[in-house]
Amino acid sequence: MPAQELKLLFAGPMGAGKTTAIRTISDIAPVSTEAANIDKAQHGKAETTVGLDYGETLLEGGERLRLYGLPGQTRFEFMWKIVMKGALGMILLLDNSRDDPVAQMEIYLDAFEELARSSSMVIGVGRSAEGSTRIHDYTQKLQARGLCLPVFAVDVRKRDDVLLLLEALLQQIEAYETI
Amino acid sequence: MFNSSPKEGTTYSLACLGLEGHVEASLKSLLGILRNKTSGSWQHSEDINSDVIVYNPASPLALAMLRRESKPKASGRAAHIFIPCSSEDPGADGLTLPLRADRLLHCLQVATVQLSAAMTTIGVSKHASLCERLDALMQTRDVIAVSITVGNKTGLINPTRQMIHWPRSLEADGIAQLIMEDVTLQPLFAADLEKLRHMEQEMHERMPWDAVMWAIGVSTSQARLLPRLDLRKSYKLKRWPDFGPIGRRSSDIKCTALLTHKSLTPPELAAATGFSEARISGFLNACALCGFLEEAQPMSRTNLANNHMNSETSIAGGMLQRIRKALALGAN
Repeated sequence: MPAQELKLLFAGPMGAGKTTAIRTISDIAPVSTEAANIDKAQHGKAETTVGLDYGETLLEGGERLRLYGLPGQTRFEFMWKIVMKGALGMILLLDNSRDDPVAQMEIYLDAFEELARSSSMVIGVGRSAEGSTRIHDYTQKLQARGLCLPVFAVDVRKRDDVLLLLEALLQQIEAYETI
Repeated sequence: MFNSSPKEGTTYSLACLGLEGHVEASLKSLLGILRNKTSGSWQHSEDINSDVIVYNPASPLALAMLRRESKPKASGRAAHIFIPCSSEDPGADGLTLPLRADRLLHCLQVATVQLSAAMTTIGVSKHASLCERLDALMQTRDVIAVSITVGNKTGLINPTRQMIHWPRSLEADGIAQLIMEDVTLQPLFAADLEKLRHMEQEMHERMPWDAVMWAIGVSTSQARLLPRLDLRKSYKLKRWPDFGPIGRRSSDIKCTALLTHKSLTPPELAAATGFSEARISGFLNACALCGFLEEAQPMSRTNLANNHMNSETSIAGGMLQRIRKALALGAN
């Protein structure tokens, strides 16, 4: 693997919990660009991220793992490609209570295909008890696309759940590197 | 030793098929020399139904028997172990002429493990683990479903659809009950179709079986591999499982990540991860029960060793280790 910036991405539709996940593991108070949500059709929350969320985790030797939360609205898709460059991997968060979350997953699989194909992606499904979509449905769709990525039911307010996603991501990356 | 240990006093029989007289004599002699070095006790036999058949690959009878053995067994009966023996290299699973004690010892050890596990499941079913009993039933030809009863609840496992039917939502408590209490399993055949449909109608919850099968595999394997899994074969995973409420262990995540990217034998997986054989057995059994463990072409040991070393010492490996350390990942 070439030397690269230690950059980890959190992606997913609006309200999936990207900001919360970053806050859960960041060593600094996350920098957020929240604004009034004018897209209530996508999600009912009052405020949403319109730029990037940013957090950091300090590593041994002073290095930093930079945590970027991408804006969920697809109109910001132009930013996704820019931020993706040099990323170590991605945690894709989905909201199972939304309409057709599997289709939402596919939007991100298309946009970040390079990361998905190199096993640098892990998927966390929030509110898994709500809605009728099961974890099995996500993995089946992944299989149909020739992808083998971990999918976990998570609550990103819990640090252990965010760490679970991170651990799976690191194990994936390491296993992929040893092929 | 990987897999189940044979019960003390277990004696296995070994017969030769199509070998020349002097080779058979040499084999008998070596069995005597190795008497105290093998896990089980081994006896030479003339019986063609012996536990192990050492055969000449050029023997038509041996080949016919092999073909017969390779067919699925309706009864789930354990197959004989066949060991090829010839002057040309028969591969890692066979014996090369002239016979060598170390090679024979290796073959006997592998056979002991397989036979021991098979006897546990099939021959002494009351000692078989829940994982083994369930797998044996699901592997039995013509079984269309397995009814599973714990306490006053009865559910259905449908191997074709990989679904579980249960009277009510099966959460962590229900799964814990399944793996901790006495469970009764009963196979349903095509003749039971009406009964099956009736049972399905009575059960309100229908769910993918991953979480339940995973829990049964990792928790009830009693530290031994399923008889149908082979220490010498390489395995790969078709997909990640849904670990469900019980199986989110770091070891499972690490093993899954490895086996979704490369094929490894059980001993290679244990060596690559550093996890105990008991844990690896439970992991592989769970994958097998869930139905996404597939046999693959074996990978050379040299490649495996190099790859493992790379993951520990590469720049990427070092970086990942620093991230793990900072976040205290991989504690369990």
